[in-house]
Amino acid sequence: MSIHAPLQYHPDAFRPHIHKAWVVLPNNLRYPAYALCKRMPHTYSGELVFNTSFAGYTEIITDPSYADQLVLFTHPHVGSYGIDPAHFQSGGPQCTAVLLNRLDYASDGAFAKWLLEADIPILFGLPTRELTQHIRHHGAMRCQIIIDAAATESQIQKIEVSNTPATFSNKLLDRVSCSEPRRFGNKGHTKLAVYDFGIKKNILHLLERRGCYGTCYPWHTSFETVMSDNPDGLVLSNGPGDPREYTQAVLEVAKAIGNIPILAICLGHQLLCLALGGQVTKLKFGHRGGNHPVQDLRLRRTYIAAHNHGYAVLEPSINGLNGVQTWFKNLTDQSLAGVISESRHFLSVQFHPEGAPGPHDTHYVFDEYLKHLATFKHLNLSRAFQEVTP
Amino acid sequence: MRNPRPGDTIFIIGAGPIVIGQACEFDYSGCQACKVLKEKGFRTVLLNSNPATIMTDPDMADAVYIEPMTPESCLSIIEKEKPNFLLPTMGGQTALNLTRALHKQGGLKTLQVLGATIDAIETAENREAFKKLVERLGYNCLRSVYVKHLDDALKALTHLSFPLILRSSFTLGGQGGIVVHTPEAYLLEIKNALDLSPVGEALVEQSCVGWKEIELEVMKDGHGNSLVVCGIENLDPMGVHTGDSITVAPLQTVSDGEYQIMRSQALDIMDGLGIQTGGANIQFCQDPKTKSFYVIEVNPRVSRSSALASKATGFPIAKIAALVAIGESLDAIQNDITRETPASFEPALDYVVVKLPKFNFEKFPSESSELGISMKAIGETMAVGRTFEESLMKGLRSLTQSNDPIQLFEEKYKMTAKNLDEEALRGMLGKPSADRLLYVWFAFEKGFTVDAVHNLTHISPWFLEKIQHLSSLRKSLKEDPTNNDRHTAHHHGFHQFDPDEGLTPYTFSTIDTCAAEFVSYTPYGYASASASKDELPKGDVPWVAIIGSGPNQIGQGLEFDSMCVHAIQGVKSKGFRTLMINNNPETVSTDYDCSDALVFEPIAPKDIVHTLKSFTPLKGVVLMMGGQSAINVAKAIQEADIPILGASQDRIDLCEDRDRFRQFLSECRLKSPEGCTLNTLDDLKQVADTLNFPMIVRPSFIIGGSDIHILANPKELQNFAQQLETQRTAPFPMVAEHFLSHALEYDCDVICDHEGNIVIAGIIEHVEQAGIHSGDSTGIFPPYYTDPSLIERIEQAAYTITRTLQVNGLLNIQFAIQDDELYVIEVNPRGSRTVPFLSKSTGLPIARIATQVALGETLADHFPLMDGIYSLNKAYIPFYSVKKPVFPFDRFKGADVILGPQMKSTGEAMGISRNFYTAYKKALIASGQSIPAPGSTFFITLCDEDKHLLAKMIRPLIEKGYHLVTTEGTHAALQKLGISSQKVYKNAEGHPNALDLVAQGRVHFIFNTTRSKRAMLDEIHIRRLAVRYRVPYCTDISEMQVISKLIQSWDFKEKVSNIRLYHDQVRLGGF
Repeated sequence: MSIHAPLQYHPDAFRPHIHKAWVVLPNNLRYPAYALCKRMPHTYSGELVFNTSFAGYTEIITDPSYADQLVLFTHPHVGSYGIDPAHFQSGGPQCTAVLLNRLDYASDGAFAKWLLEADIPILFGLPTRELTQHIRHHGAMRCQIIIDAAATESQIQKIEVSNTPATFSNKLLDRVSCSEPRRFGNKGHTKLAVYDFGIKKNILHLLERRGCYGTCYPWHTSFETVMSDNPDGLVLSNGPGDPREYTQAVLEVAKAIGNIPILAICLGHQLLCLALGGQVTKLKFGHRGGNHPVQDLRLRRTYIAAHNHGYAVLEPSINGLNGVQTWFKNLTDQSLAGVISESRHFLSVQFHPEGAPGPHDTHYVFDEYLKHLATFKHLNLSRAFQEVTP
Repeated sequence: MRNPRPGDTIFIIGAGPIVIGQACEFDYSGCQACKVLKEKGFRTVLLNSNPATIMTDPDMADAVYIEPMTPESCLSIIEKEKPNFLLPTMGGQTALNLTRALHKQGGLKTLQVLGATIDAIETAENREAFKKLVERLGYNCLRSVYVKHLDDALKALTHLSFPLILRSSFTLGGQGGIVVHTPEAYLLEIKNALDLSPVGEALVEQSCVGWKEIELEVMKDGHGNSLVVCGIENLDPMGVHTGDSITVAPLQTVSDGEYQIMRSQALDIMDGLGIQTGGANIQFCQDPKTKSFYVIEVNPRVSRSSALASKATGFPIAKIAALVAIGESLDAIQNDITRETPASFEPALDYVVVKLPKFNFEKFPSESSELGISMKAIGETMAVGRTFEESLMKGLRSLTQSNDPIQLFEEKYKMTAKNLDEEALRGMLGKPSADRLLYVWFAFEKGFTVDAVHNLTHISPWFLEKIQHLSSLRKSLKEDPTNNDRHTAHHHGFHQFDPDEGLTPYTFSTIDTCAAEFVSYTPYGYASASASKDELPKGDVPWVAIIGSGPNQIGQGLEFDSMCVHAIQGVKSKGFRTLMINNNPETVSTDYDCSDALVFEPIAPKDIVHTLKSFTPLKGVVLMMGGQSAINVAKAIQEADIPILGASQDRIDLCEDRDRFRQFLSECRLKSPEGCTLNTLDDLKQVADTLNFPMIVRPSFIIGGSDIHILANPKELQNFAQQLETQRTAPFPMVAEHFLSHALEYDCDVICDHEGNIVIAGIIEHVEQAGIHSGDSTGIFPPYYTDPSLIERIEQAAYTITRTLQVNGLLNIQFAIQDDELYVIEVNPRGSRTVPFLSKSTGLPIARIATQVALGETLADHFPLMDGIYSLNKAYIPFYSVKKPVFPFDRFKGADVILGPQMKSTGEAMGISRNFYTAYKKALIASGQSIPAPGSTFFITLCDEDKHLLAKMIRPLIEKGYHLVTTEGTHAALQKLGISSQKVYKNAEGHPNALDLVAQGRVHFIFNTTRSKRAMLDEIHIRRLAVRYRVPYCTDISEMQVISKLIQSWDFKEKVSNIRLYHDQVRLGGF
């Protein structure tokens, strides 16, 4: 098996860190490649997923939802505009590895340097289109990356990879959630509490821009603790992993429903639906990119939205629940993309209205949430007023 | 206002003749619209004056009008066809301008405009209104002032600083746009800009030269849904018109944050403009210092860029635009390629597309190849590869048809990195030109740094780094062709190695709109060395490949695309699978639903051979529809043992090798002008020993008559020889021939089947005399002035040639008659650019029949009564078709408008009528000329040789009440005839002079002939001025006689008619 990898140009500084490597898939498929990384020999493993965005690699790599994943970029040139910390969605790279067709050394190799220092291997020289087709056909799968200059082909052939999903219970959340409560925003008109399951910075940023401030809580904080600070609303963030494992989080979310206006995004949406009694299923290979249409069933309008999820809520399991309405539908596969309940005070979306990377078409989800918060406040005030007036 | 319903009639306006800034892309968009509207049950009515378009094929719409693109034609069509709706967004700026004109005349009262509203068109075009809109939405526009008079222009200077950009309002492709750096230049150019604008307005704008330029293609439906199909990044920064820029899709050097800012702004502006439905193109630029974006302009219609974006992504913008125009919503339209996802998505690309412009500066030697904001490119090529490097290299091969394009450039310009001195190179990098990419390449070969080149060119470092790497790879391979860089080079798009060198094989990937996220069903793809699974369509039905003609260039335009589409239809009808190979994104032939498989590949020897070998089983290759470009790869195909359908390599060689060709003609007992081959400069100097003056000299292998010279006397020969001596390039071997002055020319297209049966698909009479390139001549079919016995002689000669050549397919023969002697000028063993015109003049699908014949049918299958031979000139055709060329002189300010053996026209228009003069007049008007009404003034200055024709020509003008202005010689000659005229000076030697009169608008038509080089230079100013002030002119004595006749019979009532009604009258009979 010859390496398809283009023998491309590498600046001298990086040469010592380029090693022979293999991507080892279940069902006996092996793709030889090169890796840029400090550890050699070393084995990494994770779920192999692909993203079709043409830009926004920094946001993707720093998105905590990609924890434990090997992210393949279908776009051939990644790293082409360097690295700008302003694009970070968290403290640093979160995925396990990055898989590319070519390695780009633009801006003095900023991209390569960044991941090398962050200890995230870059696999390159891969037939990324073929791998994407493979995932499309067989589904997202757990793979291994073997970085070993000395490994022979027959050794590599013998490696067994099982495609049974890894179980993490809450370990992934522990990794990406804040370890203690953290304030965000300057004092504004609306105080929010955020369950941090690995939140992207841009969600907070867009809320701040709309006059919100508040506290991010570690994922395992009890609902009572969260409420003791008297927030006006609760945000359930995006995050990695299989929501069906997060029973503890689901219990806390269940307590919140109906008692405080909730905005739930991605993993948060799945947890909310589980708490409502809905069912979540694993998608074959998920939705990851910035080009899928979602339809707002209330406005009858279609928007292009950023997606990054491997699980989805089964619409029949949630449809018809008391006061719950389907809000968004993903038009590529008709899957459920959002639910809303006026009476139970939640807005919940599967996609990423915050973009980063991706279109800003659905920023209005945040506006809708703020409108709802205002109505809710007004409602409570008048209720309180009624209580004090004889 | 209501939505269209099936059964309604929709009127679609096309774009007219091909000009710079408006090429095949509008045939592509018009065809998509016509097809889908017909499918949806609408009645379609179409207007286009361009006979070479597929959209004017009689079956494309329910009624097709090949008539001048004027409000009058439109009004007549509206009266006849009573359409309910008008779709103006498919025919480029021409259609939008016509729609505005119709609106002003009150012609749109009975029908509703689909897509863009009149208001949206006005706002997008009026920069002041547009600027206000953009600012109201809270976005940035460049500082600018709108100017109507010189006074305004002076005032503008008080709040703007140099450099400034001047643009005229309502012009095509940025015509009239120019950058000025000084007040002097400003005052000079502002007047020009005001003159050029049909509404006398110009915009003075803060220059953003050197900034990053980006375009977004936006799509919107009438239900509030909108999306961006594709972003296109210009490699050449602001200052070079986007049509002249190298462009790349998707965007490469902008972050997601930056892209989303533009994207959101683009969608907002679409709404703000009031664009109801359809596609639009929005241009942005980015200040490199502040990183802020500025909105430059919006085209509220499908455009050249949207054609490129459609081909680059697989998202058929024009088709979807037509569907949303009739009220469909984007989420209800299916994506044809994936079948299960809706059209309301944004394509994801896992490859890189590079578009390279094609220039033809060699045809306009006095024109500098410097580029600016006024478009000069004639065509474009699109390359698809996995990476930017691979695509760029493929694009260069598509432009040059060479396996090693850089070497070709080196040879052509006698220039290598070594012999270029650094200072000169710096200068060339500093100003954008047609060849700047080559200089960038050489600069890196010479060791320039990316920073240095960036500072000179402002091209993004990312692109420069890639080019630097390519340049170093080539250098390393030149030093040691066997080294390991071969593999790297192979992966980066070089294609100069042998396939069995242990390199990764090429595989085909699909352009699937979704980066492989979904299954795709459309075999539309590209080859890449960046290994991936081969995605070639499977099956046992043999393929027939059709090779297109690549980028448009002068001499090779839309006609060949039209023939390729007919060839596809022909091949399909024979039950084979069709494989289309082309790289021109503007074309109909590269629409993914046109052929069974489509690949975007260079038409260069190695690329073509590996592509053909990948598609098995392969029945053969049709080269005859792709012009000279396709013929150029015949040798490589023959050597690879791939069967050619049509003329074999040997026949092609026979026609191209002048010695063999003369030998062949003498075997046929036919005459050709005396001639010889010149292998060296000495041969040229001594040519007068063997040939008589005047003579015509040209390189042996040419497209559209590049580099052809007519030498009248020994002095001109000497000058020419001297010129060659000092030139960097030596075009030898050359061919010299005796030039047939005052000869009449005929174009003849012939089909021949494998049994040797022959059909002459038409003999076209040229109005202009020999010496003017046939592509620039006015063509008449059936011939009007020629004696039937002469036609008979031409037919006999054509039969003899065809029978002897035994080419199974199409053949084009050019004849000349001098002193009753018939000469064969040249034979092209392929379809020529006259074929589509003949098809429209007769209703016969000539290219389709020729393809079926090349695949084994006999001509008797199509002409059941024929007996071995037949000529369409014998058919009963009770109407005349006249083809007039259009020229790009308004773009090339330095070029002379005098016609010669070098082809200069970019396109053609057709006039058709039962009356010859009406047909001629329609053709004149359709090609942008006009016939002034009686009472207006002709300016006449003729060379001595032509003066004897004055009496016959001028008397009718006088009788009709025209005034005459003449120069001295012509004045005197007229005086002798007893005709008085106003005498003026020719040039600025005194007043009143011709230049004054033209500039003051006191001359309405110009007759000007010249023979001597001196007089030619003298009179160039008048002709240039005529172009600038849009005064119609005529520089050919034969055509003047036609025009004078035409004026005599002034009172024709012009009628428009469905082309099918003409075709129905044709009776082939007489077999």
